[in-house]
Amino acid sequence: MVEAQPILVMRDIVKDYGEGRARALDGVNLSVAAGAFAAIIGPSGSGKSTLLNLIGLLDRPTQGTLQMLGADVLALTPGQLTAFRGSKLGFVFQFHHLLPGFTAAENVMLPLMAHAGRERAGMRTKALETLALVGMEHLADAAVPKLSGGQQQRVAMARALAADPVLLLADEPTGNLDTHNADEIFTLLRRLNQDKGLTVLVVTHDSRLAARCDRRIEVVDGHVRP
Amino acid sequence: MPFELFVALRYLKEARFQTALILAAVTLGVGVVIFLSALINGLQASLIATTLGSQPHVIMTRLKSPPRYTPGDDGAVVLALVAQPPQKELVINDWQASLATARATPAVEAAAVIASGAAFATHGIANVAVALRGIDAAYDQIVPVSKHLKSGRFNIQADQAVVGVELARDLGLVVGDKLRLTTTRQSGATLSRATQASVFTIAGIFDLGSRDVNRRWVLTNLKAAQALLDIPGGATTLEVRVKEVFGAERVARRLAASTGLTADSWLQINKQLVSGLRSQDSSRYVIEFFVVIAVALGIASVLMVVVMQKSREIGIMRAFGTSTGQTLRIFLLEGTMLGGLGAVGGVILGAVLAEAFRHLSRNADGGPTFPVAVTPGLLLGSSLLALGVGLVASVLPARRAALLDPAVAIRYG
Repeated sequence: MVEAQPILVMRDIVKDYGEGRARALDGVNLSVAAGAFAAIIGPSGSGKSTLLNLIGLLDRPTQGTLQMLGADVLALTPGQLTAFRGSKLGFVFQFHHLLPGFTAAENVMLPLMAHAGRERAGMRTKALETLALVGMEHLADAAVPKLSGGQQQRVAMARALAADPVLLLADEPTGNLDTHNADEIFTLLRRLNQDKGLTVLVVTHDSRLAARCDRRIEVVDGHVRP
Repeated sequence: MPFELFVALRYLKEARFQTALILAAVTLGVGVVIFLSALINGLQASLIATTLGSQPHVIMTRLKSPPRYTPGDDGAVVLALVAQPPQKELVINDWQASLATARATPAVEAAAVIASGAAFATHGIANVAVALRGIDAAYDQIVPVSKHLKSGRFNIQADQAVVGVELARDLGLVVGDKLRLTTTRQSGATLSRATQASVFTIAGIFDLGSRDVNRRWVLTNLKAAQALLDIPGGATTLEVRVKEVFGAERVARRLAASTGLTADSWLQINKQLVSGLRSQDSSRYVIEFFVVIAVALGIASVLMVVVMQKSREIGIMRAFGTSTGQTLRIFLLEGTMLGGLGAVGGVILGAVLAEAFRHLSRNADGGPTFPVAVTPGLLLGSSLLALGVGLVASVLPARRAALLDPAVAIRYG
């Protein structure tokens, strides 16, 4: 069996915070293959979210190298980094973080509009297709505050998938949901991974869900145990 | 619709209560600026129109010789007697060249020659001291007497004369009446006095809006005045109307240099009025400055609150690929739209206030106290000012939004 090409390679990553230089990550080496479905687990304060922020290009490491899709992303300009993040990465958070003033479809369209710079008719079609992927097309024009927690998280997933990312980063995506909805969201992530070949990295405290992932990356005291 | 406009509009709609409040504040601010400016512009225009209704913009006279010292009569011990030079020494004999120069000056709209001096006007048994002014037809372009006639015609040919309403009332004159004008002149080494008189027919009666002018002026033709004043072929002043009234001082200096005559602008002659107008302008600018500052602070504070409230949303948008430039433009657009919408409201409010003032503030005769000048230029200028203030006021909140660290904003909101 041929090993898939790595989508992400981290080498000797160190991340320090603040004047006291608190070390959140210390010498992390990590490689994630394209099409992987991996859980990032570890106790609170171990550095999971820091690791996810670095992978999501929302933060920069203090030391080390980070390659994504073969590109040295730390060498990109802020503008290039934003474009890379918008086109290659998708984010799902514990709380849906949808924009409450917009409808479900508009929330899904926003990344497309930001990327294209302006609204186009095709974007709504794309947003509806993506909503259909998460079973939410029938509520496309619903106001976000009127949706249930599970529905809101589905729309958040559709927003993350709208720009056809290659890597989906989910930070406790089921942490705010009941067991039934959590299972549904997790199943959806799994299906996207299997059907579309989407690489998925999920930060979770839920050992039951982590066990359903192909790989578990454990973060302890700023160190990664692959 | 561009992404930034789409988001900015939705943010304004979402925070509709805050938006309504700040719009009310901007509307009020712009409305006050428009109303205040219209009021002061109207007042100033009215004052200037009244002042220049009977005045030229520039008066050119012969350079006055310095006061002379005359010994006392009959051995009286007089150290010095300061005397004004006689009328003849103030006469411009070669006025034709100066008039041609004035008329050829680009900033000059019209120029006319005047021969003026003191005279006694007699009608029946009534007589009063008057200012005799001999003019040519071009004078009507300097002071539009023909537009201010109360009765008769503006006819100064031959033995015709035109007088003011006050003088007509004082002497009991009506159109067609005869008016006798008498002048006195000094002659010889002994400065003996001689008089000469002419009779004129009243062709018209004017009201130039100035009691003094209406009471004192007798307008007749140049030749008749020259004869009565004993300055044959001469003139006492050249009077000029310029194209731009506040440029009169510059034109006066130019005319003085090119003709060798003394040239005084209406700005010099009416220094107190000009000083009053400038004080009004200063007051207006101070008030407008503070209104603009209040509006700017209002917009900035509301947008700053929006940025703080929406930090997490901004972080999310940054995460899915919104650039710092796009984030910046969202809030700059919000500020500009608040300024723009406030400008629309302010234009309407300002116009309504001006119209209400026009109706409410009336003289005893029912006429408006003074015109309130709401001009397209004022409305456009105030609108652009509001747009600019909205844009500038949003710079700080927009920068704050654009520089938010997305990771921190998402985590801590």
